[in-house]
Amino acid sequence: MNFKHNIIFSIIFIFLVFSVYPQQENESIDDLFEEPAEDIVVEDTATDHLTQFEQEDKVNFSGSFSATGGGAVGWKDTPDFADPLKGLDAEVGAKSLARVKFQAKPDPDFAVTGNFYTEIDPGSGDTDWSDAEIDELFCDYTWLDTAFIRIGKHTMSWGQGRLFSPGNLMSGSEDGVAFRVSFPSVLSGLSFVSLLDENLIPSDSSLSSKDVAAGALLDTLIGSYYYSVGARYQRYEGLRILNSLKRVVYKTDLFTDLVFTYDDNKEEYFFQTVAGFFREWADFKLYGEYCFDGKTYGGDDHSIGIAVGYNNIFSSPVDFGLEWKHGFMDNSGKFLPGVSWSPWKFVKAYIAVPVNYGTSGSRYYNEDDEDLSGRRVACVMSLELSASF
Amino acid sequence: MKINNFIIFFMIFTTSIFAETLKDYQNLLKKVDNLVTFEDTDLSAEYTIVKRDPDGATSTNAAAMFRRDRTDQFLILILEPVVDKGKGYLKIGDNLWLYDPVGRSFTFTSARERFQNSSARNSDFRRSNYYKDYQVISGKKTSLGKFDCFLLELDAVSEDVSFQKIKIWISEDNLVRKIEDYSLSGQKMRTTAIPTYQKVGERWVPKKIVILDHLIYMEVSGKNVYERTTISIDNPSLKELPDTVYTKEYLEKVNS
Repeated sequence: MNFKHNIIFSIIFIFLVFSVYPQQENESIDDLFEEPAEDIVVEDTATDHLTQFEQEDKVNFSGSFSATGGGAVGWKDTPDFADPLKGLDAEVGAKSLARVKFQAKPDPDFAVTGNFYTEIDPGSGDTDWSDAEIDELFCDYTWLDTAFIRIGKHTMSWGQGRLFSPGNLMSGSEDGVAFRVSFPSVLSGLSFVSLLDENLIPSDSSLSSKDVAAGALLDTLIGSYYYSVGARYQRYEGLRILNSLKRVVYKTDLFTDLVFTYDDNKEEYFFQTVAGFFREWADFKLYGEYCFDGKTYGGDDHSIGIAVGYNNIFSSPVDFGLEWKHGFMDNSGKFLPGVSWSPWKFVKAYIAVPVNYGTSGSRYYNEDDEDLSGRRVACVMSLELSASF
Repeated sequence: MKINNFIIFFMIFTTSIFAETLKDYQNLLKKVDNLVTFEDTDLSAEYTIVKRDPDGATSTNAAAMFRRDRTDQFLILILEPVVDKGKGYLKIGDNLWLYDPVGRSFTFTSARERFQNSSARNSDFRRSNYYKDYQVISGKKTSLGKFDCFLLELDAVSEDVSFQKIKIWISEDNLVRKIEDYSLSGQKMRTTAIPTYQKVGERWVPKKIVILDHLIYMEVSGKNVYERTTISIDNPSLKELPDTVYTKEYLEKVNS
C-alpha cells in the first residue's frame, strides 16, 4: 500500500513539476509578425549623408576642466616585512588642469584645429597657473578629394604594438612640426611625412632643413592580412624600416611589427620586433604582447606585457584595469592594477596599486609609474572632479 | 531479393531528394543575399538604435552608416550621444578599426562584438553573406505570424561569423524575417526580428529591426525580460560616395 502511495505521489509530483515549468514564459518578438507594417518602396532621395560631417563651421570652442586631489602611501624601496615602517612614505596633493580646444572649418576642405592647456600644481610649489602649452595645432586641407594634407604640431602613430611600440616610427611627432600628405585611395593608404624637431639633433647644434626626418608608409590588404611597410630617415638617427602585419583569426586580432634600424653614423644595425594579440568581449578587453629589442647589447632583451580592461564589474559603475610588463633580461617589471569608480556625475575616484620590482638599477625598478614620487610599492588614491564644455 | 532492391532504391531516392532539397535551400540563401546586397552602388542611411535594458532603462544612439558591398567595406559615424559624436567604425577587409576623436587614435575592435554596447553586433552592418558563410543543415515550411516562411537551420562554414549556428525564417519574397543565433554548444544567444523592409532601387533594406539578447535578462513576474534593441533605418540613399570615405584619413578629416 505504501509502495502504491509512493508511486502515486511520484506521478503527481512529476506531473506538477512539468505542468509548472511550461508556465515559465519568456519575452518573445513573434507578435511583431502578427500585423506588421507593410513592406514599402521608398524613393532614392540620393541624400548626401556626408554633408552633416563636412559642412563648414566658422569657429567652434570646447574644453574641459578637472581638479584632482588625493594621496599616496608606499615604500621607496622594496619593503622590509621585519620592519614595515622602514622607508614608508606618504603624501597628499592636488592639481588642476584646464584645456581649451578650437576648431575652425571655413571650408569643407580646410580646417584648423588647436588644443591648449594650463595647469596648477600646488603640491610642487606652484601657486600660479602655468603658461599655456600647445598640445596640438594643425591645419587640414583636402586636395580634390584625393590627398589629405595635415601640417603643424600633431600626433602620428604607426605600427600595431600598443604596450611596446618600436614600430611607431613617428612616436614623439607631436613635439615637433610635422607635415603629412596621404593618398588614401592608393591601395589602403599611402602617406609621406616629414618632421622637424629639435629633440632629434644634438643639443649643441641648431636646427636646419637638413635635420628633417622624412618617411613614407604604405598600407595594403593582402588576402586577409593587413600589411604595412614604412620607412623613416633622419641624419642623426639613421634609417628605420617597419614591416607590420595584422589579421583576425578566431575572433582574435593577431599582429606583428618588425623594425630594422641602420645607423649610418655608427655603422651598426639591429632588429626590434613585437608580436601580440587583442581580444574583446562585451565588457572585457585583453591585450598581450611580446617584444624583442635588438638595440640592447647582448641580444637577450626579451619582454612581455599584458593589459586587461574590465568595465562595469558585477554590473556596478566600477571599472578595473591592469597592466603588467616584465623584462626577462634583468627580471624587472611593473605591475599596475587599478579601479575607477564614478559615484556621481562629474566625479571619478581612482585607486591604483603600482608595484615596480627588480633589482636597483634594473629597467622597470626605477621607472616612474602612477606614483610619481618613485615609490616601488604604493597605494595611490585620488578623486577627480571634471567637466567638459 | 526484391524487397532488398526496393529498400536500396528507396534509400537512394530519398537521399537524392533530400540532397536536392538542401541544395535548393542553399540556393535560396543566394537569392536572400542578392536581394539585400548593393553590388553596383554605395548605400548610406541613418540608424537610430534604442536599447531597453531588462530593468526598463533606455538609451539611444544615432549613427550614419555608409556601406560599399562590392568591397565589403563600411564606415559608421556616431551622431548621438553627443559624448561619442565623431567616433567612427571603419571596416577594411576583416579588420575593424574604431576611431576615438578625443585621443585621435585608431584601436582594434572586433566585428563580432556589441555595437555601442547594444544588442547589435558590429557584423550586423556588413553585407549579407549567408550563402558563403553558412551551410544548410535542414529546412521546412512554417508560418511566422502573417508570413509563410522557410525555416532553415544553418551551420557556419566560415570562421568570420559571429554565431556558429543560426535558424532563419525566410518569407516567400526571399527576405529574412527572423533569425535565432546560437552558440556552438546550442545556447540561444540572440533573436532578431525584421518585420518590415523598405525597397530602395532594386534592393531591400530593413526598415525596423528588433533584437533580443538572451544573455542579458531579468525575471519579471515569472517572465524573462531580455535586453531589447530596436533599430530604425531611415532615409536610405544610393548616392555614390568617393573611395576616400572608406579610409582612416576620412575619419580623421571629419573629426578635425
